[in-house]
Amino acid sequence: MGTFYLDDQAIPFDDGDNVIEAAWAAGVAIPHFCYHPALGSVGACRLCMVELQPAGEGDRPRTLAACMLKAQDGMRLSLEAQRAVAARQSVIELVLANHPHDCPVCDAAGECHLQNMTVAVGPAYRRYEGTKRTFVNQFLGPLIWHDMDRCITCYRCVRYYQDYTLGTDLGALGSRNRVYFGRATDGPLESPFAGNLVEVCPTGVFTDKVFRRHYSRVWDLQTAPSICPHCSVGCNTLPGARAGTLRRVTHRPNQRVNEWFICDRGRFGHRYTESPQRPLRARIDGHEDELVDVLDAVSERLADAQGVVAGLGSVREDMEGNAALRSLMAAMGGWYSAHASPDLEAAIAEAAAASDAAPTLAEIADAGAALVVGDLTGQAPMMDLAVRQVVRAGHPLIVLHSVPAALAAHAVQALSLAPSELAMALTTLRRRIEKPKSRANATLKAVSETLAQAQRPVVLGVAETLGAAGCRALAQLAQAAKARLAFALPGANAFGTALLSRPGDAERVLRSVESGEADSLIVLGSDPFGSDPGAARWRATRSRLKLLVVLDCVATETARQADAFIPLAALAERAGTFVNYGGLAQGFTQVYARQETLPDPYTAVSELGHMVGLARIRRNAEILAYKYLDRPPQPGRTGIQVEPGAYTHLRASAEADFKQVASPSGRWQAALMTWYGDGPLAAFAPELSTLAPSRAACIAPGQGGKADPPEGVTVRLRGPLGELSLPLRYEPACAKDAVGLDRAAMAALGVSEGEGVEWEPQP
Amino acid sequence: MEPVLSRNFHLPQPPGLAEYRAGGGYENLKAALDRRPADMIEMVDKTHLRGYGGAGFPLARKWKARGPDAPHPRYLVMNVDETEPGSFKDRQLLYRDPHQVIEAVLVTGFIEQADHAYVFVRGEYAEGARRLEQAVAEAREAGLVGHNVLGSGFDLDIDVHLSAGRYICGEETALLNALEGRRGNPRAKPPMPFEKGLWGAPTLVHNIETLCHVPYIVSRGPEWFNAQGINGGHGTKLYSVCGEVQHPGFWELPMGTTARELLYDHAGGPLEGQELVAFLPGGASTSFLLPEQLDTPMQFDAVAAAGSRFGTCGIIALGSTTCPVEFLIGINKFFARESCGFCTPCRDGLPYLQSLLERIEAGQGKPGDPDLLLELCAKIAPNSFCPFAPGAIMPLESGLKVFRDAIQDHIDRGACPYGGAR
Repeated sequence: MGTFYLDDQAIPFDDGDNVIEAAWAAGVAIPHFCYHPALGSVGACRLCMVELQPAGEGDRPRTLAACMLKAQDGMRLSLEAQRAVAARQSVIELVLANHPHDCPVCDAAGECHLQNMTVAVGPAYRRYEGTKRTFVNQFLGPLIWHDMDRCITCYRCVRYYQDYTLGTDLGALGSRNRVYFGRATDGPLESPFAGNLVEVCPTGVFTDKVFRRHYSRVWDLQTAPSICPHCSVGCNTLPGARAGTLRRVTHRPNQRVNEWFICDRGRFGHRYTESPQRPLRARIDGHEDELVDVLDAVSERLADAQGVVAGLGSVREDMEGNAALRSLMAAMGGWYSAHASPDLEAAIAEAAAASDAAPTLAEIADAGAALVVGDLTGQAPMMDLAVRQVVRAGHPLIVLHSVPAALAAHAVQALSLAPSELAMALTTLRRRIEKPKSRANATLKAVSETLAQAQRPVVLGVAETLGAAGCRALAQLAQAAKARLAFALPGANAFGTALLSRPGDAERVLRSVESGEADSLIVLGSDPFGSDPGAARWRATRSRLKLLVVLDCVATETARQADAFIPLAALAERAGTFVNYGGLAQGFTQVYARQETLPDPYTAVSELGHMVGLARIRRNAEILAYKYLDRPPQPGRTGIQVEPGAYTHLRASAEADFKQVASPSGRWQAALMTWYGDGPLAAFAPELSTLAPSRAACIAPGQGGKADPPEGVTVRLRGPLGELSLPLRYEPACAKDAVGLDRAAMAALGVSEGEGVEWEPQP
Repeated sequence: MEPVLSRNFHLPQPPGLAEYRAGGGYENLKAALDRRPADMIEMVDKTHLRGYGGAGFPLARKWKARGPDAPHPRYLVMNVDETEPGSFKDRQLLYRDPHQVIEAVLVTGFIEQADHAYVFVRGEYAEGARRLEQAVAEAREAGLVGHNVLGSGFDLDIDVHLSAGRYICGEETALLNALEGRRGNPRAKPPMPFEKGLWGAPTLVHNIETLCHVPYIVSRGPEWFNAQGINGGHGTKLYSVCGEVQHPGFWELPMGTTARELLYDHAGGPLEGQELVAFLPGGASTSFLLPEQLDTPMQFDAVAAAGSRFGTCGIIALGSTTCPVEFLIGINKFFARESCGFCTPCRDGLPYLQSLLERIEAGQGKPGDPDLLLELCAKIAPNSFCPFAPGAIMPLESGLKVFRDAIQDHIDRGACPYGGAR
């Protein structure tokens, strides 16, 4: 603690602060390039020069970099001193010596830190008349555009990419004034977080290649605070739209969630809104019609229906839409659930019930040890990035996985276990921590010791991978280890839909349809007949349904099969509320409007209720949606925490559907493989989806009696629902007896995590 | 004067272990192993022995700064990354008497109670590094290197590391980065390497010539050492002279020998038909001295008093028929090229200077160019991250003053008066 003086302004500081940080906290922005709050100080650019006034007689004033200067009590500094101004102007002059001054055609213009600093610091005119150095740019994949001539060599990109995200395929190459920031050879950047280079770069070296193809000057973009819809972390974003189309998404700081960054799914996944397959017209019985006419026809058919109506909401739809559907079902005497799979509903409820003190991303990053179960990179990429900070700080990471998980590469202990063994391993670990002498194999002993010795440990799990039993085992382990606990839930609003669910809802909805009690089904943003977990049971009911009404903003298999289809506004085209993995309710607002008439789900469902004579749906939905909050969370604010007291019913909800993982009948167990660009919406993003790993059935090598079949050979897999041919791929990170499959393959076979598959030729 | 460091340089081949021992080699090591490190630090403290890699920091003060209680592991690094233009004295030690180098590492390692020693050798000195490695193997075989040195209970192994080759890797923190396999960029100080150096452990980095004196000092005493200097200098020094002189070369002479004696008596004076215009006393990264300063004793304080830097004391002489602008271009080109590229003033400033110097030499100079050059020098040197840019600016800034008329002549004529760059 202390105070220093910057041009006579008193600036308080905490011990260890450097001058630039303390000044920033006091509201004084010292010009800088290489300093970044998330990346720290290195003293490379020399723009933040300040003059240190002599402390004693005979001392001379010195110019020093504020980012490298530790604040000291009573220190007198000046930004305005002639020498400091000259030093900063000299840095601007020098970095601009080689800069192409192509602002008129540069994508970064208008939000370029170099432009800002040049205007703020000067000089106004350039003097350098020599030749400029130029570079050959690289192809960095479908998402990032590279223009090295603009580089001012601040090293932010490599510090972010290598130090912060632990990436290895982008580096500083060469030396002197020819330092080159790129890859060893052309090719897509491998990091799931590469897109942040666009925002980290203080000028236009790394720009958004997707935005570039539908470019708008940034000052012409319409923006408004939004929430990322692609996973349960709920990162805060700032979508930018123009002329009725969404052009790009950037991060928006919220210290309770993501402060500086977003993942590439969040940045580039928005392109589902401009997918050529996106359904933009209402449809009934195979022909397109006006929205109001389709709604009218649907309401008539619902009124005429003999059986009851069932409603299936979605973990990726907002509170308002799900609440409206549940209200409609309540009024019409039908069942509602947001979850196609009873197993998954139980897992979400179990996970949410245990997440009453879930750590924020910053708290995860600050942990003294992390234990991760499942592929966090594929299910909650920004949680993965927080875990990388634990690794970066030199703390231990433990990863338990059945199929390849990117974080395993950074783990001190990575255990590959078949899905059926996961919950047991977690229970063994818990027992070891409770009773250090209890029985366990050497690996689990080592893991339990790491966990028991750690300061501020965190335990993170993927709910879909763990199932309800696994989630409970993980929660008990966390309790025993005195660790903070968080789950990656399967959808942006999975926590919210769990709040809206009652025990056994998913099973009831399914049974009502299976039994024929319900012959009409309204699906809001789900894909029960396509690739949603639980699709196996659902698909068998399709022929019994007299009416399938689908409301969605993407072209799912279920949407394709719909008798009536209502196109919905996509995320940034409307307002709503999501509740993230930790129970933080966050509002998002409409950023732009499309040319077409696209209702939000709340309006569409309420309108339907109105048409069937249930005018109260709208009001009921509102009450229900905000029941667990005092008020709707304001877009652009930091969110409202749902009080844990409000969701004690979740445990009961989990109990209703809770079932132990059944041992598979055969040897091979299906295990879900995900990747960072995955997801029901992002899968429709054309550029991002080109990076998807090729489809395959993945197993660990060396599991056969004799020789392994050659990689790439086509294998035929059989599940309860059907057969599927896929090329065979060897992944050493797969557990023994586990077959790694993507979501679509699991759905086609009709299996979920840990369920048995047969295949031939067998190794 | 009896040669000390160069006592084996007359041999046609560098001495092998047997020959080195026959000449009294490793006796100093034996003497050192019988003494207490703290006593030897005091002995060296009485000698005024300073770092000969360029910075001139007193060796004993470096030892005392780290202190006897520094945590283990501790590393000792011998810096043989001699890349300073005009300096080629370290090379002689490396190539012509490798066992003397090893003995120096062992004695110093014992004084520092180091756990491991690295010898970091300039990339172009590959042959020297190979010879040193052979000698280390020979010495290890004889029980001099590695476990239980000469039965003393002291362990010290030595690794010879050949640099991938950058001037900046001679700067101690960049050297440590390079040793760790990172980019050869300097590190921020503090922490100083003696606090957190190689892999975060206490590390002392010393020039080869500095350390080669240590075994002699601890066995013959500080009085003996100090008595060898003249004109305020202490001990002997490997001096070298190059540039436009009759007989470029190196000589071990009493510290404090005057520039005149070096340039005229030993190097034979300027080339036929030329006059001495100026000389850089301590390698390229020092300020020019003029003929009227020839009587300056070549030792740290005297050269500093004359307005320059003793540096490595590799003297470069400039003759009257060479265009000084071209000379400055050559020096600046070297530094612009060797900049690591980390900080802006150095990385982008030196090439800016280069563009101005080149246009003056090409007859395209503008009237404001000399002032612009001086202005840039004044902004580059004090604002850069490490001492590289201040070193690069020194010859240029002083050259711009010393050769102001010649530079103005280039601009006025629109051509190089020396006939260059036609």
